[in-house]
Amino acid sequence: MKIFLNKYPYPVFLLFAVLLFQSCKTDEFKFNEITLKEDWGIDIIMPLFTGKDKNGNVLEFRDFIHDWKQPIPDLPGTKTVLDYSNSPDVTIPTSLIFDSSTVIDSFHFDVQGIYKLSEITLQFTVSNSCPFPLNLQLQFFNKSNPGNLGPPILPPAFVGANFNQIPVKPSTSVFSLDLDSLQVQSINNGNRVKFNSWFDETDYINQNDTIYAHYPIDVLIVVIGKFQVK
Amino acid sequence: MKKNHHKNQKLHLVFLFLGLLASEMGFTQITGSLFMLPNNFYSQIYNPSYMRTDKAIEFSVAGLGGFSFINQGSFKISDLITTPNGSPVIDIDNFYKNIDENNFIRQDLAVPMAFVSIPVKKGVYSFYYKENFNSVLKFKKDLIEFLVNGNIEPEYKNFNSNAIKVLTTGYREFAFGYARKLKKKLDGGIHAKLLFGAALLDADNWNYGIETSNDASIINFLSDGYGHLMLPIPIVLRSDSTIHSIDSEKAFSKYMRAYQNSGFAIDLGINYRINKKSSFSAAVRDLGAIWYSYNANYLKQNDRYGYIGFDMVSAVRWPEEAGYTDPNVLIDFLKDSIRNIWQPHVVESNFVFNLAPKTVLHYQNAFSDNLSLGITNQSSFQKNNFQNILTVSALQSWPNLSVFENMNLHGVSDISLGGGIQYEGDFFQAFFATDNLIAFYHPANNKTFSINAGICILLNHKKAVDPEKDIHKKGMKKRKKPSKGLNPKGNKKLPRIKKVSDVFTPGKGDNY
Repeated sequence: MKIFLNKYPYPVFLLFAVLLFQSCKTDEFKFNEITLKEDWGIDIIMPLFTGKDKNGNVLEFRDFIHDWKQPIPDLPGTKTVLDYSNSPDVTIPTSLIFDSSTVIDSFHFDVQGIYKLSEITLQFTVSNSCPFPLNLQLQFFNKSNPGNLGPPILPPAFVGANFNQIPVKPSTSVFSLDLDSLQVQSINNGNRVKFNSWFDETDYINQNDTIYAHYPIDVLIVVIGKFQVK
Repeated sequence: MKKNHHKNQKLHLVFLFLGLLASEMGFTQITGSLFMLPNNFYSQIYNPSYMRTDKAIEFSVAGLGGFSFINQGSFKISDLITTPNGSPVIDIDNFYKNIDENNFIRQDLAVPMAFVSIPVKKGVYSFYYKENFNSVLKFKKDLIEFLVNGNIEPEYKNFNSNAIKVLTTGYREFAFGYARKLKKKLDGGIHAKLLFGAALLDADNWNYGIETSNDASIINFLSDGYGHLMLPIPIVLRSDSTIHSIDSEKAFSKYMRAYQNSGFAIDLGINYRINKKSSFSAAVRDLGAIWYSYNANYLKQNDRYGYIGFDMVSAVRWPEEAGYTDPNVLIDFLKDSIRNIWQPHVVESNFVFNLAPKTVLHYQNAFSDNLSLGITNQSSFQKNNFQNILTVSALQSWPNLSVFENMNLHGVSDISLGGGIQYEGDFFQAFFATDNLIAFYHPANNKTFSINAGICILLNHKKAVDPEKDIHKKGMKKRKKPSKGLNPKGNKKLPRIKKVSDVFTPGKGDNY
């Protein structure tokens, strides 16, 4: 051993140093331990729902009154005629316009995979050409418990057009709604969304028993939030 | 006439230089210190003029042959993966703060599967079969910008990833080499290499973009880029010629049997002994190309999709009214449309892939019987730039053992300290070398490191002898019996060391 040390002092020292440093090994980790930093997320703004399709069709007054897949209920009280331009007029109970109706009962919506949204603000921009303020409410179905509806997300009513001014111009309302934790949770855990809508009553209904069905109502719902990995 | 000759030579140089610039991404260097050891079988692979002069036969096979691995980047892994609470996390914000405007990361693995070197009367014949696998990703800081800043603030509403480049190649080379003494002080060598491309992905100038309108009513997704793809496994395409899936069954087996795309390249090298103490060597490697014709594809991407949100109109009116689509179908269509932005179109097309030429320049000087210093410059030429490693080495030699240390300058800014060891016994040679010893202890905190290791068997190799000891013994006349292995016949020749010095690299621990 002594002869070996005398013969190769430098290599022996180097080997010793390597062994010594080996015990100081740092920043050692396994790949499967790596996760994404918890508070990291991308601040995004993007359209979520649109009331205008790629062919130029826009949602109209009639679309927010009733789910037309369902029969028109026979309700007591006054009746109102919906004036359709290309088809026969339809008479409905007036209260149908002002009562909440499910207009989209189950629209597929899923934040898929390992992602989630947080710190969500929903920005509603509605250009309303009809004579009544519009209420639009969203609720998300829980994907693991389909019968469980999340808390309602309801912005203030979107002001109707002023029919006292000629020509009548649509009113545009923009509301930003900061969602609470339960509402955010319902979006992240949801897989379908339900839209309910109704109109607020104005004097216009007392003065008119026929209402044009095709008043355009342009809806844009934009999501502003942080896109994160769960 | 002479003037024309010079003019032609200059033209050749210009064309050679242009050829180098036009080549693809560059790879593969070994630790510079290994060029201090001409009898090292890796240095013989990387400089064709290097050879043993002791008439020993060298051979090695997969497993023994070891490997050469390089990880090199413009950033440290610890820039991306941090341990704020003791657990490793991917930290995009920290990464963004610490990276340069232009970034790259590459890995390079070379595995000699077989190597043999056989001395003949006037030189040395050699053959090796080497598997190469390389991967390079080049990107600008812009790529990370969206992940950090998002698209809410007005100045970040529009995003462009800007010129992402990805190159992944897998190919094998079968090299036939010959090295010989050209003049008294000059050795020369050549490798003629048959190449077989086994896999390639070359995505050049790939751009991904996002444009957000002021009221966020529409987001345009953009993509643009082109490249080449060759895989040894079947690619299943959709009707629009985008990639649906890749059949990875028996992928490794198919990779190892991929010999349909062939190519050719040469390596040239010289080794000039300036005097008994110093020498200079140079090599130019990988002058050649691979012609891809089997499973060879051209990639192209130039798409744009405007996302306006999920369509409520169809959700309300379908199926009562004509002209509207089932909203679930629309959602699938929307998802596909966005997904297609990121999926290139694939068209069968032959292409040629130029290897990246590399150069090695090396100078070394022996300061004593045991100590030599050397300087090595390895360059790898790329399309728009080149990678360079400058290595200063110190070599300590004993009859069987060589130990070396090195300082490496990667590009112009990164310095690493490395070292290694080579042992050569009667029947085998084994070595280990690295250009970054610290990387073994702080791997994540180092931008670059390389490891080379291997063993080769020696046949007909005479046992080396410590010349000092031998001379001492002879001078003292304490032993009449000739040294074992040096002078078995017992004649009165001078000690072997003199002969060894004449031939310069006799496999006695490179102590010249």
